Amino acid sequence: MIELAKVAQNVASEVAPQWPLPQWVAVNPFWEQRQQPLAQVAADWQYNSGTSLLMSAEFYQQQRQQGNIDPALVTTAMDEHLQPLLAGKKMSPRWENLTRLVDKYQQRRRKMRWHDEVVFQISQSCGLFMQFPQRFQRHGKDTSLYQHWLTISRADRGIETLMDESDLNELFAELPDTPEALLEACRSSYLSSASDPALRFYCQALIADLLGWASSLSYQDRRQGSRWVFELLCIRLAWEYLVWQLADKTNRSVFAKLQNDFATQLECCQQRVDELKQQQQVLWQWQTAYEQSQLAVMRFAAQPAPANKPEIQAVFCIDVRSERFRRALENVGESHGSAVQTKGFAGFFGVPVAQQDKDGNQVPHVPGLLQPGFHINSKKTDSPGKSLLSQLFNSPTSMFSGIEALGLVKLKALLTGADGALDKAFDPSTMTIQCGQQQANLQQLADVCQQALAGMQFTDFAEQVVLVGHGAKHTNNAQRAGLNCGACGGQTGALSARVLCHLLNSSEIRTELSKRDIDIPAQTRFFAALHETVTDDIVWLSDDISDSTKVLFSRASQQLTETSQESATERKRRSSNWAELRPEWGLADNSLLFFGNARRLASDNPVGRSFLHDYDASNDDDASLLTQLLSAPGLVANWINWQYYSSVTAPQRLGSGNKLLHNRVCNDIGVFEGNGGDLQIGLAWQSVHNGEQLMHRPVRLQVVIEASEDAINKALNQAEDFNQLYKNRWINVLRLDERGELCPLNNH
Amino acid sequence: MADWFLLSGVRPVVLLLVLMLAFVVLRYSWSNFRLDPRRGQFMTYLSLCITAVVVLIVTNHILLFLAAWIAISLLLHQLLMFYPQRPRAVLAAHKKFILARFSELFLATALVLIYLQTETLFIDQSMAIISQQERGWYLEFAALSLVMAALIKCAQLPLHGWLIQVVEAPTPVSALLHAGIINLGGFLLLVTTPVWSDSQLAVWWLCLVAAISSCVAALIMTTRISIKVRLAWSTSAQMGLMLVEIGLGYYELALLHLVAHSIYKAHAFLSVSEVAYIKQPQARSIFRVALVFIGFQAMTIALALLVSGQPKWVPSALLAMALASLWLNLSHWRVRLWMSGVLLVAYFALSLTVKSFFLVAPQIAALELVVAAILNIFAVSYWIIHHTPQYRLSQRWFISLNAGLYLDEWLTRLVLWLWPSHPIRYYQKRNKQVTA
Repeated sequence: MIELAKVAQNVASEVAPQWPLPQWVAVNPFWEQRQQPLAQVAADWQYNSGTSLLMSAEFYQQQRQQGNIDPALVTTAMDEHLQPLLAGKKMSPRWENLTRLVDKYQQRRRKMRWHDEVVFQISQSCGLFMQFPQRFQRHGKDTSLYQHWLTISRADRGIETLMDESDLNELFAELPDTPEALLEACRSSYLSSASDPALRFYCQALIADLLGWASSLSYQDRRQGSRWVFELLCIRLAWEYLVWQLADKTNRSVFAKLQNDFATQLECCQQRVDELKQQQQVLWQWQTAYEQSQLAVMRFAAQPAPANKPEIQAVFCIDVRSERFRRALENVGESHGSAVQTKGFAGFFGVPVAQQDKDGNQVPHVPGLLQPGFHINSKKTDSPGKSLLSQLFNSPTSMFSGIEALGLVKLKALLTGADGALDKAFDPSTMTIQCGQQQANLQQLADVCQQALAGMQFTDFAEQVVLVGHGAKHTNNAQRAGLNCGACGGQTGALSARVLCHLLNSSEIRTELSKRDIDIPAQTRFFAALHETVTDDIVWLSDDISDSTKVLFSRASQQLTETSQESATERKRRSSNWAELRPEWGLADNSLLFFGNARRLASDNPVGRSFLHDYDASNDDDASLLTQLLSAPGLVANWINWQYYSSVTAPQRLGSGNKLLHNRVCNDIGVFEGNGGDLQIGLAWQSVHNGEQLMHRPVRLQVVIEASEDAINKALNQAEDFNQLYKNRWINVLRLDERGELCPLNNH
Repeated sequence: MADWFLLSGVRPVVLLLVLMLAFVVLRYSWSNFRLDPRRGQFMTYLSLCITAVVVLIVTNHILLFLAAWIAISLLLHQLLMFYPQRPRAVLAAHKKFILARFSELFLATALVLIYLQTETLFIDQSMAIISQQERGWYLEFAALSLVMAALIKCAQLPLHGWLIQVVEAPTPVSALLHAGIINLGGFLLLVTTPVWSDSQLAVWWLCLVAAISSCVAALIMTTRISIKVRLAWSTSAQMGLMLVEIGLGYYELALLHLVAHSIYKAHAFLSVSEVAYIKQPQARSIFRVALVFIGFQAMTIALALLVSGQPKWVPSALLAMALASLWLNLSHWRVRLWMSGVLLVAYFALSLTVKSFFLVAPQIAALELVVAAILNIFAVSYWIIHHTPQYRLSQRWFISLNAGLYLDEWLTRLVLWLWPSHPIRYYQKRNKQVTA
């Protein structure tokens, strides 16, 4: 029999991190469970907290009736097994924590519910802990979250009144002082007969109650090596222990019922999960059929279209919104007789930088899994008047006369609303690039450029090379980072594009690069631009761009506006309306990640569903580049895909609820929905649903690779994390062959 | 029929404010609820609620006034219950519902007494009669009832819990509530001054409750973790100050406060999702802070004496508090001196133009001194708590304040007992009705 502490630590380590709002990037909430088969994880979560990783039987039925599932993919067995689920004959059992069990009993009808209050109370003490570090985290990462909570709870004179339980304070006083002792106490009392799998379900169910805080604390734990998620789990367990003891002390009949229910649960949990897994099997078949039907719409050309020597090369982010711009740009280029070649690459363009913001924090402009290697120092841009005014209004001693005297200055802002904001970074010639404490030297910068150019697989250079980052111009959105570039850590791509552009235009760097056999022709110039994704406009960050190129890009913008549902003015209005909850659809409906020659995608494919990363297998004999692609953009795309997927299948727990109720938790660690409850993770309902239907069709990412079977297998074997995702069905991998057919991999 | 409506005194300013807020909030909601299937329903309730507010402001008829007052609360209830599947939203709405009935009861009592006293149903006539009459126990009772109605409406402690908890409603509702509806308590007192301003008991009660409530709410605000909840506590504090100013007879100042706060708060709520970092106060020597504060307070009192011949305790204390905070937040001596000088001059120049504020002596001198003392205690507590987190006393205060001084728990329990909420069942019932 293993210890409860082990199980708890294990469950705590399976929580994926959530980044704070200013750097809020997409995360696969089950990232740390990628070593387990998806079907198993789905059954576990369905059981432990009612969190669904599948759509309902009704959904698949409806999709089929609407013709979105190819009838040829539906077998009679699938049909037969779906019927009982549709008829609601199968109940899906779920684990109930003690707080939930007690709530069900009649005696709490006219009282505060335990479950609700417990989540609220823990959430508030975590909030205090994170919001006032000088006060509550005196020992930095070694501060015990559990003891903090215990101190707060023991001092609390209100909760006894609120719950109408007069023994509560006494029980708080008797609680063990350390997490370990608490685990020991629980193990030796009400968990003495629990089996290992039962303990695991129990711990998962407890952490699921506070998944939002667990995710945010997991981010902290990873950065500094604390163990706050584990302690959070212990806090939640402490509440269970309290409720158990309280029932024991106060009400015999309730306690007998509780003992009975809980014992049954401990005994049957493994069996219930197995049943659930069995039940979900047919749904997974339907899900696969649904995914395949959508993939069938995507067509690929047999031969890569012959490319002329391009006049303009434009490098875009792999983002699905960049895909639509790339296509428009290539179309416009074709119809105007100027050859444009576009490339897809991670939107930070391979430059791992961080920039200091006005509060002195380092803001990374890199994907979540990377660490920035370079720091950029810039002048502070915030006006002192504004921050003084905000201090005046927010400090309680000055807010009375401050607002009386100066509240009226907000009149104009109130009438006009706030205009959209778009970070365009600043002119890179004024900044210094630092590596560690020193200024970065030429070798280091040339290394960055060399790697970036190799990753983009530049073989020849056109006269104009445009690096196009992207960002969304809008305002008043707590999750604004989610609409910016994920590869840039939730910032716009402006800084990265500018830095690389600045470096590649510098003659010193070019000399250094030519020593390394990378010859950039003297007439080649690099330019930086930003694709504004709400209006599909291009914002030029370099000023010496030629007029004909500008025209080309603005034609592409125009074309996108013409094909989109809304007019240009409507989209402009949305980008500058502070009440707008859906400025754009972001990465909704993403479904495909393509590594290969983007020209092989047929031109009539649905737009805005694919991440495109250009890849040429002929230059990658040992599949080392492909390995890199799978382990970097491959994972980022999986995180984005799973964020959208899970926000659709389980909006209550894995989505962040209703944007109308979003309430930033101070210092922007995350949002509450309304007054309190758990911290929210994932996307708001408004980000995936348009009021009538889902804007994101829940499909797992289909990764299409244009390479030989051997090369793919080789890369898969080396890219361990990606391979786990693939083997356990979190993601699907297909090979694009010469004829334009998609083939599943054979030996996996 | 013309007698039924009235635009005099504070009414034009408040009406203008409400119309402007209505325009902003309705326009905001229209975009906010774009693509939302329940946009029509929300806009309807919102418009009706605003209409009721407008009627309340312009009406001269006692019965219409009462009807509008009740209608506002009932329509607001619909807005607060916009998501009936959320248990905390339902709980808060129920709490508000029950308290609103008490506020109405007090208001109705006051209005009945006023009618019995003056035998007219028109507000302007009855006020005119009252200001010439001898005061009897009827009026004394009416005055207390009015003050109670206003205190409840303005969410003063200890009946403040609902205001904090109704951030469970969509953002535009919070904006309308915090910038518009909650001010009506102040408005009520401003239009009925003849009834209560001569009642010593009512004025003392009003000022003491509001001053203590305001200071405690401001202290609690700084210990809270989410932006909307901080804003809600700040509203409770600001309303308290407005009521204190009304009680002390600074009517113009109170009106300015009402308008400025509404505009600030509406803006703060409507832009609540804009990511911004609130700086935490740093640890400081409490003695230096106290020295700066006392220095400024002496200076403002001296200046007030010089200009008007009175010490003006409350405005001086408030100004000194603000100056001390600014002083501590600025780092350069020259900027400090310059800012403080400009503010002092501006303040006294402004005060002199508002003559009724500055030249009229306060009605109850002792009361003003007591309120100023409360403000002083508040400022010092704030600095002790936030600049010296290492002290155990500061830590203990902080934790109690964060828990809201355990003032609201009894009420929550009582409300749950009176009105058990089963939000989920309620929601299912509603859904069934919709589909049927």
